Amino acid sequence: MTPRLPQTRQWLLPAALLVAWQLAATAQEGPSILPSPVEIGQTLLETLVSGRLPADALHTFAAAIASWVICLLIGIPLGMALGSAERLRVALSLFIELLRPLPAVALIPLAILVFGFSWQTEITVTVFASVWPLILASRSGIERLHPRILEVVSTLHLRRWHALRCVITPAAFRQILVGAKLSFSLCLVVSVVAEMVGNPAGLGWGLVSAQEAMRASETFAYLFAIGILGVCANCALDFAVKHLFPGLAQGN
Amino acid sequence: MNASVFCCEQAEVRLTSASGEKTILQGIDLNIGRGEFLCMVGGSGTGKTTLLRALGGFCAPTGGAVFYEGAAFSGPPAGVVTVFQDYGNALLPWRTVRGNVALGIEEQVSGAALDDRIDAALAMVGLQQAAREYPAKLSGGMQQRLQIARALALQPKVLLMDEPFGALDAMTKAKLQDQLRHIQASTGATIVFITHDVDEAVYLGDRVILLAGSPGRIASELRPALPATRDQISTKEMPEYLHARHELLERLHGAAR
Repeated sequence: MTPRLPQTRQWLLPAALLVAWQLAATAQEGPSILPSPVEIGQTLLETLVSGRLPADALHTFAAAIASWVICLLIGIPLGMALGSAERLRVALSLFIELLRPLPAVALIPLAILVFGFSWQTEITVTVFASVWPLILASRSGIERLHPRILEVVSTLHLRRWHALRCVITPAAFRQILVGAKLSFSLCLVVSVVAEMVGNPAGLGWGLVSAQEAMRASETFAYLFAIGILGVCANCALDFAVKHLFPGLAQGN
Repeated sequence: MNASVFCCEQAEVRLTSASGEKTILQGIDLNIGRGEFLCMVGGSGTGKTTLLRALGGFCAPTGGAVFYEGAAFSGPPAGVVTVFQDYGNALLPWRTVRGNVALGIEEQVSGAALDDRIDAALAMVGLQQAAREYPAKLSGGMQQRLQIARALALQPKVLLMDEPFGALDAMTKAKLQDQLRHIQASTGATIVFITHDVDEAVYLGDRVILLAGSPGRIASELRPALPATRDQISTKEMPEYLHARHELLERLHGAAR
């Protein structure tokens, strides 16, 4: 009846699972590998207060953002160029199709050989994994433009850059945004993976260290932190888009 | 001194489609005078739109020649602006009414001069009240007026219009017809106007040409003997109007047979 109801309802399942988990953990006798949610919460709080978790989260977040910016700078222009220039598409399509299916994780040993266990390794791997959706989305954004919009550009005698900036890019914006969001989520995920094997820092490394020290509740605490960071970052991105480009939300 | 703006000499247009190459227009001889209001009528598939696109620089003639101001051209010539039928695809939904009108001139003029040009264009189509709205908030008639205002802001010498009022209701259409005659009188622009509507063609045009056949050619032409200032009620009761309408309808049906 009230519009708030569906909002509360979507918390029901996670909450129920947590309660069931807690009950199961308390009911079990003897020592257990699986910590209870209360223990995990305590550890989460401790790592938060000690400053270790926020520092790790900041590192991962910074690496993801840096990689994402590089993805935007490479992916959007390249994708748009591929969408508009037939010759470029022919020249590059085989190359791209060869690189794209390579799993990013497979690149980690190579990156470590070149850059060592460092942030360069982390960013290289993250960018390689996350740039594809942006290239593809930007390309299809251009390819799916209504032909009329190009005729408008030409009948109004718009200059090339003016048309690109004021007509073509905004018209393809929705498509590009889909790719940018996908790329952003990938950046977060892959930077954690890269930290686990290629760069001893951030949340990924924290997760691995906790596991190696057999601290189960800390492992879970890091896992939760990664999940929460992902949700918050995606919400922040949605919010930023809505407020930075109000005009683009109009129509359609 | 050549007074014609556009000149077609035995122009032919072939287009490639899924079913192979097809000749759309053949043997088009046409002179369009400066300041003339030319209407094009004809059944579907007679090449009206293709002829307009050839004039607008969107498709080059594959035979014969098309000249603008005495010169051949590729791409839209300077001073010629096309107004499309599907205003929904032609307007930029993320720009306000003002922003859309500014699109074609914001690189050339700026500041107060830009504002003046936009205001003048909006005033010509009576859209001043909606200047800050987004196109999606406007009715179909207002959106089409906006597209016309955007073209007028460039102060074009020639307006090419492809069934601009085709999707509008009768009342809106009548109002826009009068506005368009008025705009032409005050700006001196040459207008080439495609329509399906015989009444519209006779009411608006200084000259009406009839396209027929496949490939399309100019089957006949007609000059309604009407005064320069026209009125929706009294003009349409004039014997000259009724005569021109009768004549055009007869030729249209004759051509279709």
